[in-house]
Amino acid sequence: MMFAPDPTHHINTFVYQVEQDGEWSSWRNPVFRFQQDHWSNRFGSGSDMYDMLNGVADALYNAAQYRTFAENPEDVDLTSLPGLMMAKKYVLKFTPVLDEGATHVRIGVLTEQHRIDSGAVRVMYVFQEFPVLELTHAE
Amino acid sequence: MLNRIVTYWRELDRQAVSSLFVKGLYALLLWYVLKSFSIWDILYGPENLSILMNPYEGIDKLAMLFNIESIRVYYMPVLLIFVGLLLFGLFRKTNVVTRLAVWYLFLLLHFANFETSTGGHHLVQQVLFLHIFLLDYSGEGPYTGVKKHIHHLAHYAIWVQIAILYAVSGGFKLLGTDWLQGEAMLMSLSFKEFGFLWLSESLQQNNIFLMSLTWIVLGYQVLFPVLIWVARIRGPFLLVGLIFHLSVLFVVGIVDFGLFMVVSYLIFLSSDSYVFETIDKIRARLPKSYLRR
Repeated sequence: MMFAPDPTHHINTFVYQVEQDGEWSSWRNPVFRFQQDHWSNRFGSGSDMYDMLNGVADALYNAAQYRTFAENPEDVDLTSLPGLMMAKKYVLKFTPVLDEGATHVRIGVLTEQHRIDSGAVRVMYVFQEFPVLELTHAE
Repeated sequence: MLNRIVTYWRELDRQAVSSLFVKGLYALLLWYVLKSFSIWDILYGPENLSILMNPYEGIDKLAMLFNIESIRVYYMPVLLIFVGLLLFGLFRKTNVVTRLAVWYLFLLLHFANFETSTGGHHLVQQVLFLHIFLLDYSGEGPYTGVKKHIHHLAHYAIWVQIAILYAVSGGFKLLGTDWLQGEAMLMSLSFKEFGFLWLSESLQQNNIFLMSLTWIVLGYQVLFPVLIWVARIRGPFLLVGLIFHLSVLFVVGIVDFGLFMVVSYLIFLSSDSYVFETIDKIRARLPKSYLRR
């Protein structure tokens, strides 16, 4: 609510890597190009896509939190949680990974945490990754 | 005293201000939907990347129809009707039915995804509901007096709605710690997402400038619900808000919110503002009267 009672202290970013021919790619950040669009043109649709993917990242962060604090974390089926479903949907429908021959995807969420200590900004990063998911054309 | 108030109310003429406010709002909404034309299917259609929420029943369900997957496939006609109504409202006179339709369609589209929603979207939703009652009381007729009263009530309800937004936002900020300690501006701008990469990298330490900005914003929001009613200082006071919202737009990068707030300020124009003189001059040069008051 308009940065109230306090502005946010952390921002989540959704990342993924794919397996192709038995090799894992480096982590890919699908948000950054929309962030760049947003910086170069505040009035375009890049801002909307950036917001949408930030929403996916927040849902992934919530999924990770949910698992962490669940009574039996091993019983939590992460693939049924909205964050992971949306992230997988994005990778399948909006990236060319299937055409490139990728067979599996691993999704992660990078959290950038800020706090102010003696007037200076301190930054901390937390990275959480999710189980490997199979990629198929049928989805 | 009571007589003076009654006379003031009867003689009050805010029709031109309301009309300009509605046209400004419609122009902004038109930009808002058209700028994302290439991703309509993601924002409103079946390619959604936001979580659909559909636990609603009864009348609440009517507002959340775009959270039902089988209904989202019809996003295109809904958006085209919305765009058509906005264009109609920009170039022709609106009526209760068209204004009601604009409000309802915005409600559907706003709740179609929460990820792009801001406080400005919620404000617009409330304001669009109130704009249904901004009746045209020009001309003579048996109900002109009633229409005028309804118009004035709706007009000032919009003022109150904007004041509530600032009161709630300012009030909640007082419950936090960052704003009172003067750290909110640094905290916000330290994220590259709320500014620019060069800005977040250069602003690592709080300073008196950032602290002053933090407290000016807090003061503005807390004082708004009171000072907006004082005609003598309204202009300069709103100028502070205008600068703040333009900064939110161009620096922080929350464009929709910034623009919604800037346009909402049109409702505070005085009836004899030079803005209307300028519009009249432009109208006189046009072959047809496109900018009706």
